[in-house]
Amino acid sequence: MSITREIPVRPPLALTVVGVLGGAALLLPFVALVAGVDLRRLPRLLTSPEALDALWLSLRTSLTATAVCLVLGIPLALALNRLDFPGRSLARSLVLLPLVVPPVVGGIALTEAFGRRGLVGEHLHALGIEIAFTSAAVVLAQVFVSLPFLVVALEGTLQTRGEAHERTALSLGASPARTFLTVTLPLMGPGLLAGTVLTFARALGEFGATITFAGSLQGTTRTLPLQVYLERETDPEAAVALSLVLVAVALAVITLAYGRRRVRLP
Amino acid sequence: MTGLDCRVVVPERGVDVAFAVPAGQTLALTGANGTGKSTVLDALAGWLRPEAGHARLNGRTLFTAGTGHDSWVPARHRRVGYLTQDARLFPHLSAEANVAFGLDRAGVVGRAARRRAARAWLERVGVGELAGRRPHQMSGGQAQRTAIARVLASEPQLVLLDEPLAALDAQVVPQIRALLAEVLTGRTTVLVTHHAADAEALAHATHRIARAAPARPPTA
Repeated sequence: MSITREIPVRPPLALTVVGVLGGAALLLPFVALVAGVDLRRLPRLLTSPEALDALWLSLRTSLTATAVCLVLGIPLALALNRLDFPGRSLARSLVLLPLVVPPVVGGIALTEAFGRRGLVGEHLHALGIEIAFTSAAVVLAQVFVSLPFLVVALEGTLQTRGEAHERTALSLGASPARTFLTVTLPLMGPGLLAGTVLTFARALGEFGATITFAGSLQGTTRTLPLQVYLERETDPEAAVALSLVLVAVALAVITLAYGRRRVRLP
Repeated sequence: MTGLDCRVVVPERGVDVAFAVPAGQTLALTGANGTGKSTVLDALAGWLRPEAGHARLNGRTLFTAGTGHDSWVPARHRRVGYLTQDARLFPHLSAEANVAFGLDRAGVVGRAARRRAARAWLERVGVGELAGRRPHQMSGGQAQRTAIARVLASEPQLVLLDEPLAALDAQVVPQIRALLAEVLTGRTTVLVTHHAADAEALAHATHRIARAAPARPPTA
């Protein structure tokens, strides 16, 4: 035990009590969830064909959506952070729109854009491409709601890191592509990791936009959250069991994103 | 003509500076804070586009501005090396990889050749034994030595030094100053410094930037 200790400035006792209550409000529902699971029935509940279909679909679509978000999000964050163009601050706010609108509204908007009679969907339909009510629609809905998470995380990293190292690289004669690959991208490391797992978590939990835009077809668009919602009517115990899976994944994601000791980059 | 010949005009910062540096010589740029010394270096490096002026390096035009037919060579094509007071080493790369980064432009091809050249440079600046270290495992003086090796390894035709000794511990300053004097011999260099001792030790000539007339009268 160390002998020298700094004296922290403590908040008033009453505030501490309220703070503990706040913490309890966050954790109590999860405690209840875990307590509500019948462990003996758990394996059977989690391996029903419907549950396995939903689990597999969720995993596939969320991973695909995360990959799409990375491909789109890194260039978008760079453009918003590094390019000087008129309306940049407006664009930065608009990127957050899917984060703040209710997901069901996002689903309606996606339908208006990519549905059979939608702005883009109409033309895709003429080409014989259908998106609505397919697994592609699930991915699209997930990308729509989770891309802002990644962009915000990456923009924060770019902002704190600044441009000094990139300037050094360019002054040493490196091409913009080499500078991006060998300097910008590695230095985004910690933000990229945190952003990626948050994006995956958000995609995995997507419900509102998915059910609105993609529907709820077993094996095609009925992801885990949709399955939980459906089971709630017919088999509440199964709903609890599946919820537990989502909580476990969320816990793993938080540990991965924040629990890991940050790489030291002076 | 060889060497550097330039004029940099940035009215909103009160900067209008013109000077020439003969090939192979070092010019010290001095002047009080806020007289635009770093602004001049940024313009020469290609990080700031002046409103007017020009820069020619060994017969190549780096930029011309305010003439009606402006030109601008981007930083990565200028062959202008820039050393700041903080070494700005790439934190995710070893000392050797940092130095090797600029070897492409110097035309050093192949992994083995790059490795040899980087090692040789690290030896030359006195940190040969630190080749595998990351920047956060180095002292300020070691990092600055590595940065000196990195900027010179890229074979710049002009070296810009912005207060290269300002961030170092007092006891290592004389050693790094001596190292700079040695490795800058024969290189066209512009050195920004506050310290007469640095200018005296490193420069052939000094250009003092006078404080520009304030844009607004100072408040009483």
